Amino acid sequence: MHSIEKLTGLSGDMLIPLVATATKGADDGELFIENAISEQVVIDDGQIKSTAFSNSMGFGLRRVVGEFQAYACSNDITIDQIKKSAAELALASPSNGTLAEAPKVGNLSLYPAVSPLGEYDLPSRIKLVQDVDAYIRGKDNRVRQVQVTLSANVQDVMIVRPDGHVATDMRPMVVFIIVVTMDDGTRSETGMAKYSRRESYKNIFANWQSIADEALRQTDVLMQSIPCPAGEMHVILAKGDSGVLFHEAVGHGIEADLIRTGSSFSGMIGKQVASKGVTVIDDGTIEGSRGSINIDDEGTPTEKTVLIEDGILVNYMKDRFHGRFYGGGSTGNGRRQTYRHRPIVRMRNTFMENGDMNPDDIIANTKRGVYAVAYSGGQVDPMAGTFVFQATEAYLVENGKIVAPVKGATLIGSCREALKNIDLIGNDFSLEEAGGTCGKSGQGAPVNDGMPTIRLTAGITVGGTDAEGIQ
Amino acid sequence: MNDKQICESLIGFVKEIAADAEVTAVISETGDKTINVMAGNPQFFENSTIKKVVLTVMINQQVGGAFSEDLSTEALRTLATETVAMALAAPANKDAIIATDGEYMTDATARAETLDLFDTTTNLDVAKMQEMAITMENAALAVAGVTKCSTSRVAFKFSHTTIVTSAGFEVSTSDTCYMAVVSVIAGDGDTQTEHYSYDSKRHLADLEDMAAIGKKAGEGAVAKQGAVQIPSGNMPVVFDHTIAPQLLTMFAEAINGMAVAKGETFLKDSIFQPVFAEGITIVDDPTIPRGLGSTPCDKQGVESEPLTLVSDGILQSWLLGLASAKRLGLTSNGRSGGTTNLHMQAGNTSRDELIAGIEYGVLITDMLGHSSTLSTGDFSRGASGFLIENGKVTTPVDEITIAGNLKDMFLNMLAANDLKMDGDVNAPTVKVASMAVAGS
Repeated sequence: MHSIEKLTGLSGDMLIPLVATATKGADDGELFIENAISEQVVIDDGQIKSTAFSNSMGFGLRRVVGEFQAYACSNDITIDQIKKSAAELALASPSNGTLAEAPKVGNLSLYPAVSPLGEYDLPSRIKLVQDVDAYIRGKDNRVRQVQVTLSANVQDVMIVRPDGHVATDMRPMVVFIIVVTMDDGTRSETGMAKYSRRESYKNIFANWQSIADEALRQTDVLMQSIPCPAGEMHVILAKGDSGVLFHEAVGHGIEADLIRTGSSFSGMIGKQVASKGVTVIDDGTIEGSRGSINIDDEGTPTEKTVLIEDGILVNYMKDRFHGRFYGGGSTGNGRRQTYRHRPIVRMRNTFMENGDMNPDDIIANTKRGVYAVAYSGGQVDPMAGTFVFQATEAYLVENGKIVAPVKGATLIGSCREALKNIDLIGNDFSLEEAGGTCGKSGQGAPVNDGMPTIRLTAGITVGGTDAEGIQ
Repeated sequence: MNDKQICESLIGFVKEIAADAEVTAVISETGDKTINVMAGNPQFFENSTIKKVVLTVMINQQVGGAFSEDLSTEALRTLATETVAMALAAPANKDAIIATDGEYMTDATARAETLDLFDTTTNLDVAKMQEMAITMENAALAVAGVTKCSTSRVAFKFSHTTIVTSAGFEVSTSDTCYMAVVSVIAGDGDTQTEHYSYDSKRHLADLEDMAAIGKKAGEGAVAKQGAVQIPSGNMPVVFDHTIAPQLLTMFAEAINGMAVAKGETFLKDSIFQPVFAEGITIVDDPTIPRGLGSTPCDKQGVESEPLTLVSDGILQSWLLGLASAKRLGLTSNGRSGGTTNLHMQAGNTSRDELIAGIEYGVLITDMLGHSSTLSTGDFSRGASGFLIENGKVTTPVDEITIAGNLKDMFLNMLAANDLKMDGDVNAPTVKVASMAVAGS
């Protein structure tokens, strides 16, 4: 018996006729039931600052007719409440629709269907963050502050459709974040390292030292950094973490709902939007990755969706509604934060594919530029197609060599310009170690990104603090 | 089991594990129906009801907290176990406190009912909500110069809350809230201007007429067309009554008991001193029938009574909960959650007279950003509004910043007589004698 059935006493067979009634005369709709549990321990300033535990459980019922969506949710998961919600939705929406085809049946198993919660008791988790704190402070006497967050959650979902399609997914997640502040009396810098995957706590408990070492390394690099020169110059984006830049600058613009409201990629299918050799993919099927899901939150099995192939825009990311609107069906990108949210078009693991160049040669072939490795965040305006990123780890490159770390580098550019000015693509593809949480329309979604080392010759301006430094 | 019984059983589960624990259990059920209309067509309709329990456990000054939306007995047992474990693992918190017998109110539920916060007469169905949103949108679109409405939304919310503590405090309250908001765009392309209007009331019968809200938003957007930039300088600044409540909110933050106890506010040494201009009186009244901020007591159970915070310019009281009162050696006035229904009393001058005395200045209708420093009172905001020339409101202005120090601004403030008791923070239009205005 599925765990949601065990908790609610309601089976798919009992729910199907209810959902069929609720979506009568609609184009689409489904019942989404969720049980989500999370736990967290934080150490800050040497003190256990917070421990948290939460348990969230409820259903969302949706009815889609034409471009109108009616959504009801409640955490009273009973037949009576579902019937009540269905009546409200029927009253709110027209009934001249024709039920769309059911999603395919999936059989993916991209992560263990077990909960990390309860794997280590609270004292063991508190001890781990205390050990990390002591280890980092013992390694370098410039360390002033350490903050360590250890958390896990498990989201158990069941989707019931009017056509009898019932899909379930149990999604575990662990998150480990270390923030280090060093101060040598003359300057102070903060660096960080993160790790997050859909798996148990085991890897974190076994390998926390290497993540702590990475946080120390990044902070140490920042302590030696010089002010970043400003101006338009060659920009080399390192493998892995630079993927966040692609997520923001390219990914959002190819989400079908933003295409429909006029993103900068609207009407560009079949057209050259990037340099030849650039292939961009959104893939929900990478084992254990933070952005992976066996099914999306409309019940569509996830897939590997090619968005840009050899520089040509070939597809959008679509949920079921946009799959009908633009044709071709859903790409499995219909996701929602919780049962309290309607599904919308979201990314999963978004990345650029490998080229064939040795990354060392990319640096060796660059006369002057900035080599950006890690970022603290960014923003994109998908309508205007512009983006801004803060690099937390970046280096100045001169005459084919890395000469010094720089601080305060802000990368500002136009998505379409930047994509067309990629001239060198490395063969060292990797995903980010942790990925992140992408925010859109007030909903957060766990995602991951990645890319090989690439070089851009134009389209990005480096907004450094040293305006004199560039010739 | 009703909500009170669920709270009691949860407290029981905690006591089974930790007999000396002090426990607070809060169950809240909230409902929200929202419809959004664009160009006469519904875009989405959302209807949610969420019930959750929040548990706080205090053992020897160590505190743990957790919440659950699963209210089954099994889930509540897990919640109790986890929360006790968290409290035991936490360092001691010197502000941990719970109201004892004698400190908390014993008839809170009955008193809450007299406040008339729950509208039992109106069942707002979706068809009616849609009709309201369309009426609001049409009224906005009918204003000459309006291009479109970016949102026209009507929402109905309700909540039921029950609080029970191991010390014996209990309260159950219910309230409703009806809300209408419309956002209107005038002009297009680079000359676009946007303005929104809204109203929110406990009872549907009190909600402002939909067409009036739409018309107000439309006229506001059109009035902003053709904004100019102005040169920088020091000048009188008038805060429209729609924006003046933001200044009162900053004042409330500055007299928050915990901020005073930690020495974090510029008013920390100002009790019984002049902090506003003569003639200004500020009152916090939790007893207003149907008030958005009305309540019999705060979340700790201590009775909230009407409080005169400023009388004729003189600061009379801090906002105190049990923890801040203990730190300051005072008694809680039932303000652990801050103010309730806060307002500045109306002055004697009309708004027109207040503006008539200004040769050159600005009337502020919108503020942006969050840049005021509680410790110093330094205030700086992005703003837009209208130019005042020779005693009259003339051209719209935008992209200006206004800066000053709240201490000086409060001491040099004149209130007009156009106070309207609309939301939970209300103020008339106010004039500040001089501020630094930065333009182009």
